[in-house]
Amino acid sequence: MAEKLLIVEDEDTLCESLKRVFTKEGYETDMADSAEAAFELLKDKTYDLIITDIILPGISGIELLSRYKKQNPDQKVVIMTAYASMETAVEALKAGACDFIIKPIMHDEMKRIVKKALSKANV
Amino acid sequence: MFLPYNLFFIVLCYLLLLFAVAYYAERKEKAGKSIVNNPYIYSFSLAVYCTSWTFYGSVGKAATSGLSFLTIYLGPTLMAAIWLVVLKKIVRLAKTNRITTISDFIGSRYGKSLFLSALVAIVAVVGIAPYVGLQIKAIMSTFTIISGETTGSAAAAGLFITFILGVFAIMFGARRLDSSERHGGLVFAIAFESIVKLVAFIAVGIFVTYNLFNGFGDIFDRIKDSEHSVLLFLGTGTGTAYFEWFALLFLSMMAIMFLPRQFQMAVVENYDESHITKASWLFPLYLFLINIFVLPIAFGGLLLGGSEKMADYFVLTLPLNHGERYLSLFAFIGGFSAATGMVIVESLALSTMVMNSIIMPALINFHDAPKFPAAVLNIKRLVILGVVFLGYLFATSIGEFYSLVDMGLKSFEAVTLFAPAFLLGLYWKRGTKAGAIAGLMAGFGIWFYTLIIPAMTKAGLIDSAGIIGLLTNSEMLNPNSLFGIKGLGKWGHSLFWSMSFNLMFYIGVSVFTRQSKEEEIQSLIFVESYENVRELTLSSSYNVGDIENILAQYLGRQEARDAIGSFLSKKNKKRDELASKELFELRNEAEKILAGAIGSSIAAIIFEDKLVLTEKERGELSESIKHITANLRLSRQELADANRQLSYLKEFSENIIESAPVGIATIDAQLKVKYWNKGIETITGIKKPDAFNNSIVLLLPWIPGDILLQNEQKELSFETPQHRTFKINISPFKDSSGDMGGGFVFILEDITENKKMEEQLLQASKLAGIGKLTAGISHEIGNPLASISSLVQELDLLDIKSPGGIEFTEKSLQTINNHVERIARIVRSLGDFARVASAEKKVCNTAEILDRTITLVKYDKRFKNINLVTEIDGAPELYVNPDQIQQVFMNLMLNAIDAMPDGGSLNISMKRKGGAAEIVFRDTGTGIDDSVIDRIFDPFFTTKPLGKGTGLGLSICYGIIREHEGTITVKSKKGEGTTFTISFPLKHDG
Repeated sequence: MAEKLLIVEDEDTLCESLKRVFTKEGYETDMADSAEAAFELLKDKTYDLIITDIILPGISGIELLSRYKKQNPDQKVVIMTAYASMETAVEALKAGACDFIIKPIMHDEMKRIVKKALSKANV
Repeated sequence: MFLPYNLFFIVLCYLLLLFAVAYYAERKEKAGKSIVNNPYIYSFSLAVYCTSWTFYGSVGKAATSGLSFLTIYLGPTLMAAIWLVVLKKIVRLAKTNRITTISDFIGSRYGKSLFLSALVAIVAVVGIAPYVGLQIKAIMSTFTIISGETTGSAAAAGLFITFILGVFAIMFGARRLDSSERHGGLVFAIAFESIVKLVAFIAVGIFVTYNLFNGFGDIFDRIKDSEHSVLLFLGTGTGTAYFEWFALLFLSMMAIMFLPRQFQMAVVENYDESHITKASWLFPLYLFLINIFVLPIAFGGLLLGGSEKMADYFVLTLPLNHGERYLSLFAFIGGFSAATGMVIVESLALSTMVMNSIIMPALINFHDAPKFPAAVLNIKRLVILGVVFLGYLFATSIGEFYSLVDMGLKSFEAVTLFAPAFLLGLYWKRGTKAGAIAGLMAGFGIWFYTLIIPAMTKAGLIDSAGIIGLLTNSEMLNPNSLFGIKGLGKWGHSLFWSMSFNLMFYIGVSVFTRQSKEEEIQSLIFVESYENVRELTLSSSYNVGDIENILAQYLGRQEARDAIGSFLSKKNKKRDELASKELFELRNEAEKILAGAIGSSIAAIIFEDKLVLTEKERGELSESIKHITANLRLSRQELADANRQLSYLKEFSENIIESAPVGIATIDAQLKVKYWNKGIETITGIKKPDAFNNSIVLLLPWIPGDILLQNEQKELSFETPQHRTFKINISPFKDSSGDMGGGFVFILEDITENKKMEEQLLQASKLAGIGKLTAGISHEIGNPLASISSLVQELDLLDIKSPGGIEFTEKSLQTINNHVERIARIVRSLGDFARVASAEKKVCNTAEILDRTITLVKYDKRFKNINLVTEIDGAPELYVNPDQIQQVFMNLMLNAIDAMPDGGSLNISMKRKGGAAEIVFRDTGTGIDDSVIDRIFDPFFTTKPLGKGTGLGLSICYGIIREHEGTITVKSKKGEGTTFTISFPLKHDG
């Protein structure tokens, strides 16, 4: 059974591109362009991994992460950020992210991080 | 006989002569060659004592009661002996205290009591008026006799002569107001009259003695054999009772002191105290001379068949009846002189008294102050006339019934009332005002009751049947024998009782009343002055012990002993070996020591004892001086310490000025350098010796010249040709009183580095603003970049020949292109903002600046929750530095965003308002607390958590706006938001 990914990203071009990459890899991939949209999807679906941008219109990625973790503490989340600072990374990890990806995104690296995040859960 | 008109003419001529004499003396006086300032004129002027009473009355008295007439002259002769002591003291006191009348004198002695002096004035006027009347009566009677006319024309002449005498007194006595000035002319006229009356009397005496008789022996032998032989003896049955003798002697002793005219002549008109010495034998000599022929004339008159009743006028009638018309005329002139002299001086003295003691105080009380001195002078003239005419009234009413002597003695009794308060007041400190008033009133009451009431009854002025009659007829209160005591004689009786009551009340009341402060001081001035003056003339009369005591009183015993000891050791003598010269030196030395401690003027006063202090005050003064000297000794150490500290402070402050990192210089009014510190040496490169006394304009030619022309503090910055920026502060030199000293203080500061740093700070603050935007901007750039990167990686792996490969590639390239453009746009706007702009102002469109700023600030991610509304109402063109204005806008917008973490709305409006452009930033944020709103423009003030804000943003905004001559104000309400209003003037439109 294919593993399910949710990509939360307000930049449409990037979002669609990533969906194509990971669908090709064999994942079942959904997209949301805001945290609010993501919560809509999470009402009746679960995902093995959520990949979210931090800066989003409305609720931020970090907020999405920490709020959803309260419902589902085992949810794995990977953070994407264009602002490469240690503070942001630490903030994300504190909120419960398994890993973070710095933009611009290298597909190979992202695939490796996603795989690693998913395999962690299996341990 | 003389025709009344001729006689009247002669009298007028004589008066004119008097005027001329007085006028001459006054001219001489003004020219500085006084003919009055000598003891002879002084003695003659004192002979105003000898009135028509002497001239006519003595003969009458001698003819009726024998030798008792002499008492009137023996009294003054006795008094003259003690003048050297008493009169000198009175003269000195009167002069130093500017006292001009007896009423002043007594009032002054008792605490400057106005009431007492008014009382004395009233007693004097009431008491002396009959005496003046006596003189006028004499003039009128003699006028009648010598003209052989009826009394009718004499009364008319009397009235006229009275008036002329009043005018004379006014002309020489009341031309000026200050009655302390002497009346030289008057004095000389009076002295002249004294000579006339003496010569006239002696002439008549010689005529009677040697023409009508064969000398003294002849007259006395013949009287011894006549029925009048009793006149040659004294004692019971001679008409001259013993008590009478005593009473008359005493009365005349007092009269020479206390008659107002005597006081006027002896005290007020005295030029020099030394004249008294000579007068004390010259005046008795005068009395002796004028009395030599009294008995011969009296006895001659009696022997030639004259009645005792007419004896008063023997002087006149004897020559007249023996055909010597001109001699009788001369005698008339002599008597006239005696009378007029008295009337003139007495009316002057009384009027001064009435003016000073009654009228002036009343004027001052009721009208604040006399407004017209001329009016006051006229009042005085009226008073003189009033006194003279009061005498005239007496002469024509009571005078009918009494002899000259009788009226004169009433006045003597009246002025004797002053004796206790006056004489005891000079030597007895304890006499009080209350005592003086009580004594005087009691004595005056007795005087009036025993002498005036009977006289008035006799004259029919009082009805003897009334209550007064009841009193006067009673056993105890009979005015002629009070308390039933008889045998004292008329004058002795009145004198005894008035003096007894006077003394009793004066002493009794004084003992039981307390002196006020003023009284105490005055009594010390009056009582002690004499002794002190004596000490003053013999300064060396201080002995060593005295000097030591004085020093000890003010400095303390030990200091005094040390001072005396060091003087003695310097002189190498023992205490009792000092000669009077050395004693004098010691006294001066001591005065100097005292002067050092308490000031020279007080020291001089202490040693000369001029300052009159009460015992208590002396004690207090010496206590306080001891206290001061003790403090001085203590503070000497403190002074040394303070001095040390002061020099340290001076050095310290000089060090501060020298080592200050700024240039400090002072220049004088001629712009010459007077001070040049190290700082200014460093800044200008000019050394102190080169700068000193050179003109600042030559030394620092780049100083804008005009700032030295204004006398006010100025501060300005300017750039030198060497491209250094200097700030110069010039303030006018002020001395401690705040006056312009005519120089300047220069403070010169090299602010080139500061200027650079300021620019850097501005830049840094700009970058800090951008830094705040970094997250937003990097996101904004990162997103398209990530998209591009992602698409490129996809294309890299794409097999273009696969289905849809070409379409995907085309579409992807198109997308990539859009993203690249997006990035380029962002980078461009960032560059616009961040570039280091020129610092110059130029005409800018503020709306464009605002637009640019908004574009940038929008990258802040938080901005997406904020509803931005801009209202640009005709964007004003301003002459500004666009870079700086943009920074102001950005800071304000970022602050607004900070204040609205959960979103809100930011309203920015821009419009013209009057002569200014107004730009308003209104947010709906958290607002600013009232307690800090005053501090938000202060540097380093921030409400943000540590590390989140520098506290410089608003203070930089404030600085920028001030530099553009604009204003920024803030209004805020906690929880509702904040409004910043910026206003720029529009005047710089070119």
